[in-house]
Amino acid sequence: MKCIIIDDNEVARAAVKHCVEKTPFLTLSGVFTNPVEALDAIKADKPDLLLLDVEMPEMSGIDFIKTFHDIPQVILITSKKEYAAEAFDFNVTDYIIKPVEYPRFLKAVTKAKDMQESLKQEVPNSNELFIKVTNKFVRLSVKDITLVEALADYVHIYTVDKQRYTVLSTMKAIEDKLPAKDFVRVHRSYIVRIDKIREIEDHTIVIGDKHVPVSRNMKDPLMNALNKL
Amino acid sequence: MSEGALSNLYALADGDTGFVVEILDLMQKNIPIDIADIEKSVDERNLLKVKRSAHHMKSSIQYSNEQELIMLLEKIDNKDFTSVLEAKSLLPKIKELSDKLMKLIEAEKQKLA
Repeated sequence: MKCIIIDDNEVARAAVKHCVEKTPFLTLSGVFTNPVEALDAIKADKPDLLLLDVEMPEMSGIDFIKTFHDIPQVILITSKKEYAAEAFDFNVTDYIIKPVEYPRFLKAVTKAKDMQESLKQEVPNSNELFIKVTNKFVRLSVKDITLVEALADYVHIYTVDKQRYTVLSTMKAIEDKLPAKDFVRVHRSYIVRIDKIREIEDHTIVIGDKHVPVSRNMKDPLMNALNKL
Repeated sequence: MSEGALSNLYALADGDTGFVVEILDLMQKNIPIDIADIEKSVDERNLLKVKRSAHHMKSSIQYSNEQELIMLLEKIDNKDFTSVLEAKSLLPKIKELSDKLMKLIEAEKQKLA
């Protein structure tokens, strides 16, 4: 797994670099003192994993994540626990408290590796998705999905022909199955297909006949994903 | 400084003395810079910069077990801390503990040399 380190503190960078070098399945492709410096490397090298500090002077790690629509996996490394809830809104893979200890680091990066491997084993045809509805599997064309809505342990999947399917799944599992270039998570409970968005006003999207809330944290990734004039 | 006072660092190093020395060198380099940044920010009465500098210093010394110093820096870095004057009053103690830490780091380096 290719990874990069972003941290403004020299001691912290050296410690995380040491952990990366101890881990056989990790390859370090860059070390940066701030997120802005790292941008070009992320675009060019396409790392699988960002080891990202939260509190940095130029831009916080969480603000940095918000600027991306299709971001690599992220492990946040910080001295404060208070960002954890917000961080998990952005599907970070893990959250490590400083000072980094190697067993905890290894646990986090192993989780990232497992996630990467499970994503590689996606359904053979990613244009289609088989969903289990009651006692049968139903084939859906991904391009027909307009909206996914969380409902406790279930999700509702809405399609262009105004069908609604109720599936036992998590939002994360569905999100991982949908192409990131076509879908965007706009709220803890909603994923929308970008080309089906009809209107956006303040923090509400109109998609089909549904009005979908956009959480404050998700507004920037949504707007970045749109082709705007 | 005994290995116990740097137990987190030695645990992470896992026998790699070169790494221990690297981190000690970085601490020695960064602590005076961090202290100067906190002092300057206090003089400028810039609370945001005071907090950032304290946060930075906390990361610089994270592998020492100098808990009193870490707690003072955490206090300033905490979101509820809002007084530059209070930060100014904490500075002498922060400098005293930092001086002690610098001496201990030097002693540890001599031991490893």
